[in-house]
Amino acid sequence: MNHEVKHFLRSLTVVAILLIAVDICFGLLFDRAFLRLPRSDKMPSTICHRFVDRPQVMLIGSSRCHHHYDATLLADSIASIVGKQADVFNYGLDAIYVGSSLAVIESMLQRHTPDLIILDANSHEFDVVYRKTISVASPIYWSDDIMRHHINAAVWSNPLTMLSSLYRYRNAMPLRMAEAKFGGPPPLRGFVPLDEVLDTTKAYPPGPTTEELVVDSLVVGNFRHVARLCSEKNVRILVVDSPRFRPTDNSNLVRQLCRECNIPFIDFYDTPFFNRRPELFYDPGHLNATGAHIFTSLLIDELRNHLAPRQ
Amino acid sequence: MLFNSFKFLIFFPLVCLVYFLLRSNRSRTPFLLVASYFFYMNWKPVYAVLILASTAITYFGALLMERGGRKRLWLSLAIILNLAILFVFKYHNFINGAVATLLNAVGLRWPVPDFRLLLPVGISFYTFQALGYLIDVYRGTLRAERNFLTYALFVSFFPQLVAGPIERARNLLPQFHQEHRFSYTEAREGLCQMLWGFFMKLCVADVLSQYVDAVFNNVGQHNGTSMAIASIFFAFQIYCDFGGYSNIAIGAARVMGFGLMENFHRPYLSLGIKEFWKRWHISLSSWFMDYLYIPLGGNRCSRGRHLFNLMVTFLVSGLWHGANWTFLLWGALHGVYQVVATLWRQLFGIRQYNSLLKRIVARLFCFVLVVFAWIFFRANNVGEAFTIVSNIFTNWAMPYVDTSVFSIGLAGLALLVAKDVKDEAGWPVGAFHSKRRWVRYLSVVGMISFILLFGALDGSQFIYFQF
Repeated sequence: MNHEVKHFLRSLTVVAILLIAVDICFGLLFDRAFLRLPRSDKMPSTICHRFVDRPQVMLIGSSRCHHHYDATLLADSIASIVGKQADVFNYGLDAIYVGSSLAVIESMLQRHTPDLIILDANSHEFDVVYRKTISVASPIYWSDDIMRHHINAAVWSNPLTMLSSLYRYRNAMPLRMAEAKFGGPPPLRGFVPLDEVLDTTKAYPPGPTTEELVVDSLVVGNFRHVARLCSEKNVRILVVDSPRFRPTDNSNLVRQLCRECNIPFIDFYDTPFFNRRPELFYDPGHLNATGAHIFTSLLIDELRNHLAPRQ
Repeated sequence: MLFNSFKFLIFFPLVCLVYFLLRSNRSRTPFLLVASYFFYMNWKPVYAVLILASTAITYFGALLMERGGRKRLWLSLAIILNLAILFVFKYHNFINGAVATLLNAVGLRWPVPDFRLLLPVGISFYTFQALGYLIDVYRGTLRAERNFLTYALFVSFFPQLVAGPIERARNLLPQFHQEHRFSYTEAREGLCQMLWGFFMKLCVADVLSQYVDAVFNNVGQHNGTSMAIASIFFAFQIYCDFGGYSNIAIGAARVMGFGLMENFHRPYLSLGIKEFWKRWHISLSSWFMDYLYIPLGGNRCSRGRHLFNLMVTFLVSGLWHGANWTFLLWGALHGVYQVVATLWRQLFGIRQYNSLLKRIVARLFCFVLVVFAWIFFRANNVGEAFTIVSNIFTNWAMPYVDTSVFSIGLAGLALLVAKDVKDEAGWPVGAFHSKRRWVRYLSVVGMISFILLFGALDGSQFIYFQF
């Protein structure tokens, strides 16, 4: 081996050792800070559910859950339906799709048994392209076996990349941790209403369709698994497809899965009441505050049919 | 395979290791060729056939030209065949749509359907590289390469296969005949350049792209202030995306001992639009200069013809980027800039910027012109481009703010600008090249840690792959 190669290998070794040292130090620091985070709507649901207190009613899904379900209104109504006070929290967050939500539910069921889980999901969220969004849960990779299993299954390289603490806290996670730490508790139990009204004169991209959907068999399998788990633990689970301004497809896939797993499915996807009513929407995919209030009220009416007090 | 993928982190060290273990070019060339095709076929294997076709056409075309007689015929045939492939995959639908619209306007029906073909990654890059070789052989400035494997490697060399730099045969081909020994300095410099490229791509381009996409893909929902910010961000996004790719490519080649041409030379510090094109995508602009602008007559002709040559060159450059009216308009806008700059020079002479303030103003003015043109490049269609322009001038209000983009993106941007200004001013070497060893080590470790923590590590594509 010549001198140049030896010199290079020596430098590479020094860099590698320093990098491992930095990685371990930051890992210890971040892990410690992470475990002390308060309940917050700044953190992905895939993470914060692990540490926050344990709500009896859990709302989970994407941004459509985050902006559509008024958790305070639901808390009051559910108390009157089931005859006792219920802590309701909206864990919805942007770009967290059904695959991640199912993993969260499965993980949560390991240590907590909520009374009711409301999962907001639609057919196109089952597309395989959304599989890797589970990676946002990487900070709890080593502390949560269930999440680790799902993260490993999502991307082949994850078992290797997750060895690095810096990588687990990638994509500016420290910034979001700081926001969660110093931003104060979520004012509306995780629900974030959108104030503006959809402007129909503006051009919006077309809505998602299931025409070219490549269904992720892994997520479908998890859906069945979670349904079975809820049934075993006597946890009620409901799936809701919330409204769109201009439905471009249908909710057949979710409906079929729910029927197969014997899960109640409440379909608001193309409810005529919401259809093409700009005053109820923020954009074609999201209700505004007025729309969310009406939607939650209509949902409560539906829930009355599904939530008889337990004997 | 993407440079910013985990696969590449495994692929590249393995290729380097095997490359240096193999001692002679007889085994290195086929090995690098296989590695390059493997690199490309990771995306869509069947499209490797197109590279092979382009390679074979230009290889045999050059040999036939050198054999003597009918040089022009062989050149034309090889160019037509290469451009035909490019046309089918890249331009057919655009031209077909334009013809159909035109005929519909006069009440006629156009029966030719669109093709449903995926655009092969990097097709414009390797096609132009191969065409450059062909023209050089035709002109007699280069001897045709006899060894097919070496030539095939020249067309498909993996660091610059999918997004350049578009190398000249006279620079790269001879390097495949040299025996490269491992060099500590070259490896270190190459890796540092790659690291800087990753920083540009992951910590600046991909972070800023979140804001840019949010605004440009939802034009109806944003005000003029957000659009102005997004336009400026896009200018840096595309620089860091493509400049980052080029740095990774040049650095990767350098580790193995190959020298690729510089592709970006601090373009946003240009004092004028002509200088900008000497610093931006240098390999492409010099390609157009050598193989289009000068053959058209360059500036050694009448003033009218000279201006026409400029316009044609920039229109073609716009079309090279993509089959869309937005790219054509972007090219036309730069053509107009060039024409105005040329006329200005002829009327008032070349300006001397002898004070710092004048230089700053000139740079800002040039940057504004470039950003204005980028709006047309990035907009989803021409209509939206004009909506953005009109909003920027009329609809000012509180901008949309994304805290993570603003904090990380701007921090990254500050570092980038600081480095570019430092390099431009020729100030002493930076942290990577410090005389103190511990500063060098810590800066490398710090940069890797920063990329890991704050980079957008989701394996997003490089913008220029689509060209």
